[in-house]
Amino acid sequence: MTERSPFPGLDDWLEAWTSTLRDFSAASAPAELAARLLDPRNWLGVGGAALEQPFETVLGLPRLADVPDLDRKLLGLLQCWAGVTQRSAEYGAIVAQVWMAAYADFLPALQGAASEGKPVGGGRELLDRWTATVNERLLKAQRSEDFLAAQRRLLDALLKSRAAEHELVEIGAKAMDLPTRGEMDDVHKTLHALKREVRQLKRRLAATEEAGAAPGGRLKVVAGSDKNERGQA
Amino acid sequence: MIDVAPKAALAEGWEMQRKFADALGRLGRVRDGDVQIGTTLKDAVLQIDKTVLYRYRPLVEKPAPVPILLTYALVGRYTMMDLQEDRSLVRNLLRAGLDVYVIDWGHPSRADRYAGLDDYVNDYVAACVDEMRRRHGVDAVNLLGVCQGGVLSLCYTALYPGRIRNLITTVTPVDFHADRAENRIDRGFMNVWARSLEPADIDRLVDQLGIVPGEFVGYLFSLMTPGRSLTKYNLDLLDAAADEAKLLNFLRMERWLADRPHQPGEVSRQWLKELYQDNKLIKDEFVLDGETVRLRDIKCPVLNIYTETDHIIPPEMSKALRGRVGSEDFTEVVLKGGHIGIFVSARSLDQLSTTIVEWLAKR
Repeated sequence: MTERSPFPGLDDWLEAWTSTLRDFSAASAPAELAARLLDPRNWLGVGGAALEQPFETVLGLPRLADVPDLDRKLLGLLQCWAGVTQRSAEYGAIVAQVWMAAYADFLPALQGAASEGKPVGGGRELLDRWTATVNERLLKAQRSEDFLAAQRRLLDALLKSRAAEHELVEIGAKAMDLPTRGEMDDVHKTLHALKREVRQLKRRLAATEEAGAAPGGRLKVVAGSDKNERGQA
Repeated sequence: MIDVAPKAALAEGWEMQRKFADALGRLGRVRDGDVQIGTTLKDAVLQIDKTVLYRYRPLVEKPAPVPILLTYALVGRYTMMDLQEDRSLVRNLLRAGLDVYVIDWGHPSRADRYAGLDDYVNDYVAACVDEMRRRHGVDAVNLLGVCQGGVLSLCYTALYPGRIRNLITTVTPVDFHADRAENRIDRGFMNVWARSLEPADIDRLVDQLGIVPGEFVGYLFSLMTPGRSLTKYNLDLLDAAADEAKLLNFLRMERWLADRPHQPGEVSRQWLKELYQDNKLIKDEFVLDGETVRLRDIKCPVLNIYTETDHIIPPEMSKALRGRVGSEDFTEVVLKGGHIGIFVSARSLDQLSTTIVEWLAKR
């Protein structure tokens, strides 16, 4: 015999709410992302791309106009840091393979040399031969497509991470009425354009003065003016 | 595999221990002030932004009437040409009676991110040349460019041919894809790396950082010689520290390397995309301030010097200048040594200095 609840209406309501939560936690990306973020393996770069899709899913959710964007930016930064960890691990794995390959080259080479009557004669020689072996392996690997691609992905992850950090720093700077990096870049761009304009005007002026001073007062084009000696505009 | 008697191993271990102790002692005695580079006396004669034009004090009573301007690369400091008193291209040229000027590009910061190669050629080099012409009352001066400075020199001479009397390029990249001809694993890593990037990668690097940090460029250079990078601060330093003069040479080089400037963002964008990736200089497609740089517009005598074992600028990259300039007076000289070695190794530096002085004397 089932026990009847003294609050049948409340039971129905609780059942509906629990069911919603169950569905949400099973299928929703935020919950999945939160769970994965708590798994330290993902921050050690050994979790594969486990974090990538949950981040994509959460950050891909539609924006709401009146909800502050800070949370999204913080989450974006977390995504970038996870990306750096992942790419560093991939890069490290490729470099580790090179060292293992060098070791695999080294022992047979030592055996081969010994069988030809050229055994290693001392610690320094051993070290020199090892360095030469690693050097050759690294040189070859660094030009391989795998290495270059891993290096490029790591650089890309680092730059994206820095961009995300900048965004947050700019929010803080604006809140404190401090000039931001972006504003400083704007100033430098304007300043650079102005300097160039002033120099061009000075050169034009000098050319005009020189033309005036030249016999007959004909325009003589000089270096540094808007046209060079071959008359290119 | 390893044929070492225990007694010999012990002796080697003991010897290593002694070397280590000696090196520590010697390193401890050297003061930072003992490690000086770029000591030849000079005076600043012009400054534009962070670029300074220096004139070295002549070492002869009547220097040659046509002065020479040295333009070093932007990725390093000009002090490489004056590393120490007895190994200095600058001093060798001064002793030979030349009137020597040098451009110091300074240390660009993020504030200089919008400066491009256009500014360096049309403003900085142009202003330095004009100042020298004015001071010496001559129409044209001699120009010597090193590596990236050689590219700036080629561009300037092509755009302002009447201002340069003689052009000397040393270890200068001209054909940025010529490394493919040899495709050696120990040369031209920078070419391979630059081509491995997508143009958007370079844009992101420049847009995000504003500059390309000197430390990043240094890291790329260290990848060119990985074995050397691994042993630099252990075996190599131990070897160098066995002798005081060698140790000071080692530390001078370290001081020069540590002084690696950042690269302005726009310069890096042009350098990597338009030259390393698109190879526009050799194709006569490189445009500065709206003007196309055409190597055939270089009509003055040209001396092109490169080395046969350059791992940074493989020789094929420099050799490509032959037949590209419009000058009928073209000389090509191959020296022994590496990219930096020809400026710091005593024998190579003597060859380099003599080659330059004798070639200029005939003109």
